Amino acid sequence: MTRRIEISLGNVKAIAELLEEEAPQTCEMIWKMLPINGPAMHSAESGREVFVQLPSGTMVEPENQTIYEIPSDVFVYYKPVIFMEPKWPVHERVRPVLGWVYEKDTQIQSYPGGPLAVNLFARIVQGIEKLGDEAPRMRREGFGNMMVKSV
Amino acid sequence: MNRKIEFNLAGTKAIAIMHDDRVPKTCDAIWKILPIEGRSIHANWSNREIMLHLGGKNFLKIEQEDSDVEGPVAPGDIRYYYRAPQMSRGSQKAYDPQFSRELSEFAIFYGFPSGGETDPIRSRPSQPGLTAHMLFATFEDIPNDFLLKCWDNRTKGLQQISVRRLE
Repeated sequence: MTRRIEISLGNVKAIAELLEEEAPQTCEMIWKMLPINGPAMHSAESGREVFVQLPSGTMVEPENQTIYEIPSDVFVYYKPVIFMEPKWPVHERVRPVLGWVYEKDTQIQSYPGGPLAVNLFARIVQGIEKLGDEAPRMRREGFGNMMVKSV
Repeated sequence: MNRKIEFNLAGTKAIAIMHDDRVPKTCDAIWKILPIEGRSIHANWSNREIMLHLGGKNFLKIEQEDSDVEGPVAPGDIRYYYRAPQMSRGSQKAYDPQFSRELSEFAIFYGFPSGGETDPIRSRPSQPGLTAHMLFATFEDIPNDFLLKCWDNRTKGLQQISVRRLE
């Protein structure tokens, strides 16, 4: 049976199915990490992506990678820290994040630019429209938390 | 003589000098619509950029002027930007409905990395009829409190912003 996760952002929830055949190691890694809860951020460099940081030290081995993300994709990757902090930290260049795409016109970016491959490990199967309303609302009104948990 | 304009972002101020010598038509068109006010929103492609959309009677559609000064985007740049409706394939629900497809705006680059590298439109030369982006002013200095308010745009949402002439 396909395992599912629930993604909560602000006032809305969505359901995603894990892609266990395509990305078994990534699915297992994330499953063991649940629940994930932290401040959500909107991408400032990749388009319509929302992400949450994963615990420091999380290892993301390349698996089922793509540079052509589409709405409803859920993925993990190392995001350049300058895309999420005001300044470069002294000894840190990337951090592991879990992100998803809610609208077209999106491609995850590397630093200083160009597509960055991500591990695609889940697809949102219910509620993408709600996330697609909530994320822009938060861009206008301020960001809250994201929670990812098992269903 | 280069004219100056003042930005007021949620009570913090920064002064910019206009590039009358390089893009006079653009500067004249912008000068005519000042003062303007609205709410700024943070970019989702161009890193350290906030935008003030120009709507209603302030909507500006200016032909590309002096394309050789486009160049890379730098912190402190203030650019006029126009985008034709078909350049955006998805909906932009974070914008007011009138800007969800065709838009004109001030693109205000407040820090590093700023703009060009990750933005598929701003990183390329303008395309007649589809995009125009002119560097029309540069901040003389970006005070720290103004910088922090720009960053607040990303996490706390829209901020009140106004632009006025400095005589």
